[in-house]
Amino acid sequence: MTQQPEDSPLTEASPDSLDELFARYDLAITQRTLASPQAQRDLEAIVAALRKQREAWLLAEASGKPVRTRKAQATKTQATSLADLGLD
Amino acid sequence: MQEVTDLSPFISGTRLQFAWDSTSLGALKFCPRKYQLSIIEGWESKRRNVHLTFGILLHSSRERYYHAKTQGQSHDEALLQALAYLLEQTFDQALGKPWDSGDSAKNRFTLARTLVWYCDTWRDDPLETITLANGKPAVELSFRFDSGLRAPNGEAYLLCGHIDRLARFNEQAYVSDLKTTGHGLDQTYFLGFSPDNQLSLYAFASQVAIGHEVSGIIIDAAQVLVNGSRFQRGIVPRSKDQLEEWYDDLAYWLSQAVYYAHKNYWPMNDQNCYRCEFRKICAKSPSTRSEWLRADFQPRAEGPWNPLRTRGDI
Repeated sequence: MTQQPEDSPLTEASPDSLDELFARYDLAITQRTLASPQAQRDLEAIVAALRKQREAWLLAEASGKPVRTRKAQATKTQATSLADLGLD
Repeated sequence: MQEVTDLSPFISGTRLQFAWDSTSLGALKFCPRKYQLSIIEGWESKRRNVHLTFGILLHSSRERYYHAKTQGQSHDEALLQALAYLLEQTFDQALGKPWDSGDSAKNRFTLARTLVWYCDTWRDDPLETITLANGKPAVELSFRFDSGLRAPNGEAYLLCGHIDRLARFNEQAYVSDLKTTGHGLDQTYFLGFSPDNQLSLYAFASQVAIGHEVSGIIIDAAQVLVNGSRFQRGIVPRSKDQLEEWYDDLAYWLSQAVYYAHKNYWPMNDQNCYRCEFRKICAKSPSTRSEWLRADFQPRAEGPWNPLRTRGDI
């Protein structure tokens, strides 16, 4: 089942990038201003942006094309010793 | 249910557990030595298991979603609450920075994405949450009950755990459980849960402790990839005689636990080493193992594993 909510106010995407939105929301956590209208808007924008990504993902899955939603957050650690490879 | 005031899961003065959950029982079945190191002695890797952390956070966030929904909030309101919880839980106030898993597929961003996509995918859920006799929805059910089996000193063995949800589908009751994986969600994935210690315990507990005989477990699987998350449901059946067999085996395994505790020796099952986090330790000469253990592992921050207070059966 992959029903997309259509009657949701959260389906409108924000022009801000997800990185910016996460950073702004994290700032609100740090400053303990999560109850502010801005923090709420940022949270809604995160959901909207993630829903846009889901739409793109579902379309790509249906067409068989790979989709890139975000750069990888981390890369594999470079092995610098035998221990890193579990060979010590 | 038995009232337990002493939080130790071990019989006083022994290394024999009386309170068991799927994690500790699973460790015993997997390898007695792993059980000794992880459960009795409480060692954990210095790099906490990303998959466990990811699973716990996704479970607890989804619980917020269900809670809000059962309190009458809309899908979007419930989702925003769950996401807000997740983002706060994954932000370290002391360090002033978000959780860094070091994993490209399972990290804070993919966790938030998986939560939102999961809730949207199952927005109009065909599974109907069962209402308990007390009128409450059958979600977040912690159980602890007398197994009917006794330790040598006569003390009852308790079975403990946490069931996400009991749900009805096609007139039948099921335990509903959420799993995350990097593997494909094909038939092979779901077949891997039969047999399975954790799911058999949940099915057994739902009929004994919660009073609902279930036909099995419905797995809500989430395949978490770098670029997206896929979702699939699978039914994992458990018949009455399968559960009886699991219970008979439980008696055997508990008698083994008595034997190991009596001998104060937990042997290696060296057929399972290839997928064990303690492999590097057990591969060392026995005389040097404790030093290697202290170098690569640390005592669990919350104290030794305790089914009476710990949620870890993800």
